[in-house]
Amino acid sequence: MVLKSFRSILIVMLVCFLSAGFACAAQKAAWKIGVAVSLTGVFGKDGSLVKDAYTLWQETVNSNGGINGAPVELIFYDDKSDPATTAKLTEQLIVSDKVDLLLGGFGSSQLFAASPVAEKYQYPLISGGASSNKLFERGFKYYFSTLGKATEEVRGCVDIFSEVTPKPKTAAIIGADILFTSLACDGFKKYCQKNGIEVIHFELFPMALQDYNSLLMKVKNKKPDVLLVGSHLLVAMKTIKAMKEIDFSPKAVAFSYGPTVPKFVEDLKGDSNYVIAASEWTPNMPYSGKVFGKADDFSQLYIKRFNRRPDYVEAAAAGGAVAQQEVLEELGLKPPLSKENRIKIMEALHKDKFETFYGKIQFGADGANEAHPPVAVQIQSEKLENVFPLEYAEAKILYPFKPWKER
Amino acid sequence: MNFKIDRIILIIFLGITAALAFLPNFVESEYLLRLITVVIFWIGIAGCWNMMSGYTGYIDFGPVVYFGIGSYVVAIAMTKYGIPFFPSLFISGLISGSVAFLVGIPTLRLKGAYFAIATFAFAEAMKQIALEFDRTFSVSFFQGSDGITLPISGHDNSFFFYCVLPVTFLVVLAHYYIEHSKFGYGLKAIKEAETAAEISGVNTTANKLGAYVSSAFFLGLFGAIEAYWITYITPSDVFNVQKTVQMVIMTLLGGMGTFLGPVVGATFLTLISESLGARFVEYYLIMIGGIIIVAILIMPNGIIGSLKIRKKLRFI
Repeated sequence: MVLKSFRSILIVMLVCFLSAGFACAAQKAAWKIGVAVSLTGVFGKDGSLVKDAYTLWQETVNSNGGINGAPVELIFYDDKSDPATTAKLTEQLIVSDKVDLLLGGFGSSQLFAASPVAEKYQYPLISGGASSNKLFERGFKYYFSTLGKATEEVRGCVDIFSEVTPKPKTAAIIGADILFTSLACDGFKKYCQKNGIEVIHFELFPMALQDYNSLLMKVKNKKPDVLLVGSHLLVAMKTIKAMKEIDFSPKAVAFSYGPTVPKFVEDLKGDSNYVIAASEWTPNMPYSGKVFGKADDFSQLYIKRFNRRPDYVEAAAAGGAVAQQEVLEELGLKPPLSKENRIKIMEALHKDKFETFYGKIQFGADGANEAHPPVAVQIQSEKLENVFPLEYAEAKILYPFKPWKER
Repeated sequence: MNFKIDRIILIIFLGITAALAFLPNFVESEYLLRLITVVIFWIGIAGCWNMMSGYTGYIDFGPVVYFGIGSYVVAIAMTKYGIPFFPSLFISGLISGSVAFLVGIPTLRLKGAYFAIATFAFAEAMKQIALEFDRTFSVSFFQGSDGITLPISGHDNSFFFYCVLPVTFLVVLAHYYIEHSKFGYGLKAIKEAETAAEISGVNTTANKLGAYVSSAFFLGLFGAIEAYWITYITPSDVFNVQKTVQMVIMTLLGGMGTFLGPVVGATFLTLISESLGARFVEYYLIMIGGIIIVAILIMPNGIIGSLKIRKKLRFI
């Protein structure tokens, strides 16, 4: 009897041991992908969006059987919006956590710090949340971005004025004095010159500026036809509020970033109408690919999971993850990855073209996404509508801007 | 008794530094080496703040300005004038120290909150200067919000370890000097009662200036090293007030105006942040905040400060 019990215990123990062994083996077979991203600090909010995008990608991939049969395991670390910490965490992910691959976080300064570490260890690093031109000027082979360069992102917002009548002749450009927004202002300037629009006012102001009324009053007195703003969400919202307060109604107002974030329309409601914004992606773009299907399918999935519509930065982040996934599938790789495999992935990322829900992705020699056309959207009846390029436009641009007093 | 303890601590400190010098030969993990370098880096930075504010009681809210100046000097020297890293590093320290000398002469005559506000304002002003200078004067120097990309060093972490270790060693050694010299007694006298110290013959302005300039010199070196390590700087990053906050918290936690305070505070906070950050990504900052509150409630003079009072030690 005792012997029987002992034997039963032994069998149970053996089963447990083997199950644990299989579980370990299964764990070892997962794709370990590391992300050093800002979850606190200045970029905490934006970084959290990127984290959500990767999480949705992971859940979708795993529910479809993983990549080449192996599930995806994401390891997130918070870099506190501090570039030195980003570099340290990137090294921690590679050396200590021994991740197979990396995905990029948010912010140009953060990616500036992470990319030399990725380059040193020969880890491809795709980001969907940084677009400073200088990121692509360092001759790195392992850094990729699904966003276009910051100066190019705003092209659509200026090119659209060649399609309106009467064509604007003068522009005022203002923007917050931080890397991304100042580059957007440079882009506005470049494309104004190309489109024959004279820039009669150019000013960068501190990000912490409180008095937007004085700044915009100065601009209003110069009577520009259009106002172009290098912005983040808060800057864009403060600008619109101040424009209404001082009754400044140029023929058009366009922002580099902000109006595409759902909070912009939620807070400003009717005041957000007629506003033009640069974008790289909206759910109604005619894009489709593996993993998420159509652009709109991705958006619906996002709404279901997070109860909000995705912004283009989130789409760009998930798009980068999809591109990396497609390379893994094409090469038929399985975890853990060797250095040689990562070199192959880097080469394939440079060589291949990807059709995804985010649109075409084709990385140039400098790692920038060259295939993605910049988009201009306009808020019409409190809804974002694509208005440029014309082949993707779902609505005609409302021009000129309706004066505040007539609304 | 105290003299004996002083000597023992100094010998232990020298021994640990000597042992650390061989560390890269034994640590194979680049990440571990980076972590150790970061700990030593923050010991040095917190020590710089302690050197000035801990001993004199003058609360400096703008030390990050000298860190930022060091970063910009090394970046401009290397990218614009092609000067190699080590001479640029030395120039960074010298320029940071020189700026501190010029700024210190008027500001160190201010007392209490006025000094704190002046130093904070100076740091913010320098950030704005770095942002606006090029546009205002139509030059390409600080490169505004675009920032400066430094040459990729290609060095592994042991290079930066050997850059940081001697600078931190000098900072800690400076603490030992402060604890055992007339200059240091002068600083402590300023903290206790400045007017009384002045009447007793302490050249208070010269003493404060000495501490302020030395602290700025070392901060300039640290700023330069980090810039070369990270390879990219912007005004918002290198003049970030968060760095000041971190060095203040580390020193307060370890013990303000103590020899080992910055060492203990920086090591404790860096390691605890590292350990909790990896396990509790969403909540670790709340946990660290809680730990700091509890530590300060139990030991209001910091870990070393409280130990010093409890054990009636003159020096540690």
